[in-house]
Amino acid sequence: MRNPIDLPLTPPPDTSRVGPFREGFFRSPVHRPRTAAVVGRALGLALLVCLVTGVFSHFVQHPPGGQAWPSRPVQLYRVTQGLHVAAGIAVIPLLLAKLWVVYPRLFGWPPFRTVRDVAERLSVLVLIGAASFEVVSGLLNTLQWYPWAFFFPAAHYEVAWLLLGAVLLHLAVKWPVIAAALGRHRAAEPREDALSRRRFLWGVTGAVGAVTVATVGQTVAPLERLAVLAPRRPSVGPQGLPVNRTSRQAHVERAALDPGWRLEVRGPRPASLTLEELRALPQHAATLPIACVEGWSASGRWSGVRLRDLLELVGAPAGAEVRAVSLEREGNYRESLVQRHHAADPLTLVALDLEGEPLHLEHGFPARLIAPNRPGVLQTKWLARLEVL
Amino acid sequence: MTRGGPSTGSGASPARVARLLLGCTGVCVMVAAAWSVGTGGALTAPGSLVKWLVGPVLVHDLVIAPTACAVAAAAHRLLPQPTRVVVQAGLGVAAVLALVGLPLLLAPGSSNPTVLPRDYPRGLAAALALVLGVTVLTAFVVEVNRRAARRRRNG
Repeated sequence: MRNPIDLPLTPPPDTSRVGPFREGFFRSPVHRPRTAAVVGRALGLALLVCLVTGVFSHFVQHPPGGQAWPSRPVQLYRVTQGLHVAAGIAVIPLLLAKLWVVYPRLFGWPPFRTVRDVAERLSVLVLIGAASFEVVSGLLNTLQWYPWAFFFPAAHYEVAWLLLGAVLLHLAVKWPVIAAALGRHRAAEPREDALSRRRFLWGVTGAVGAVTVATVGQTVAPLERLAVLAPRRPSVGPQGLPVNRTSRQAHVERAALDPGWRLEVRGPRPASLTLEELRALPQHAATLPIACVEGWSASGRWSGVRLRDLLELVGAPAGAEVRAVSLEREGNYRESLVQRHHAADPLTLVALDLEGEPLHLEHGFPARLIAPNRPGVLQTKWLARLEVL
Repeated sequence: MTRGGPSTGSGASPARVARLLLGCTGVCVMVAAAWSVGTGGALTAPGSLVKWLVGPVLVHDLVIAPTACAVAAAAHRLLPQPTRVVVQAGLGVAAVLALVGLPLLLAPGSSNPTVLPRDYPRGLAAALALVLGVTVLTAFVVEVNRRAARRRRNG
């Protein structure tokens, strides 16, 4: 019995074979499988870095099963998220190169012989579509530009799995071609072909280098001046630090500047502290980064009260978790959970000062949370309340 | 096409089984992800998402790739090797930079002055000038060397 996937389909007549569909339209040896496999390997590695760091970031923000994340190393999230965005930007030239190499296959003749061919073409459409979606949506997110109806983090996350599935299927389908192109027993090729492939790969390497140099300075401070295409400058902002969400966007200006502001700390012995009372408590300083999901990061010298000192003040039990609530009335990040490792870490501060001056309104005046190894969106600004859970 | 694909043939070598498993895993992951997208409601907005999934592919296949083909073909007609490859690589790098820079020029901007704080048209122009300048210079040197070598051979 015939497998239904091998059912023959009637291809279009040969008279319709025009333009790029003609035999020999694409002549460059760059379009051969070996180039596709070599570029595909680099692209696959870059996508793997994006997947691992992206899933890491997702789970840091949505801990599965109440799993407590470590608060050290201090710079871990900064590195993984910087890597996520840098690898994602490197995917742009790699993906374009891969598509360039296999572009003639779009015009393969006949376009399909069997149901299998149609299925394969559809799966490749999903593969390319998902990869392009991840790159385009991620890039626009770093610009805080959202010209679509979906919620970026949810869509970017789900399509990442779609892309993973499509890549696995693609690897399974193409395995013989990949093995023949990269394996030890690959056929010898004419010197001209090898030369043209090497030249092409040098060009791709150059493009990856160029886009990296033009953007990576948003997180690697010494390269800031070169980062002419980075949507952020780590040194530009109030008190020399960028801002992700302004007080106006968060509608907290009036509440934050209210002289009657107090920090409410809910626990076994609740307390309500004015700014003066907070300043009268032992002050500690820590150099910690703001590391944003958008891929920029910058270090600041923060000082204020240790969170664990406040927890002790209200008689919280050891290993307690804390909910930090902002003055913001609404928004996805108006509150955040401080898990036990972070709550107990001596570097975790309710910061009152940045770089030796009182916090700027845009950085969370009168008080903000700042903790090591934590995404910027969870470093809750304009604190109203801390709740021991 | 895919002779010896995951579901053809009757041999059950370990490699074939592994391939079959890999392919099935891929399909399952895809179906699960598509299900999540389809049932995500306002979070994933499937209608809008599909547009942004297919749109970039169409832009690539109908605009970017044909343009690149036309430029590559023109370079093929006008320039001898190895000068041609220098020009093609330079144009390719410049095009990728322009593509990455384009959203920065088109973005509506933000009320937050720390987002997009640079002069991006100027930065992109400088980057392109640098890449194209280096390309022209390299192509010139390569072409001069090529002609000298040819004269030596002929002379």
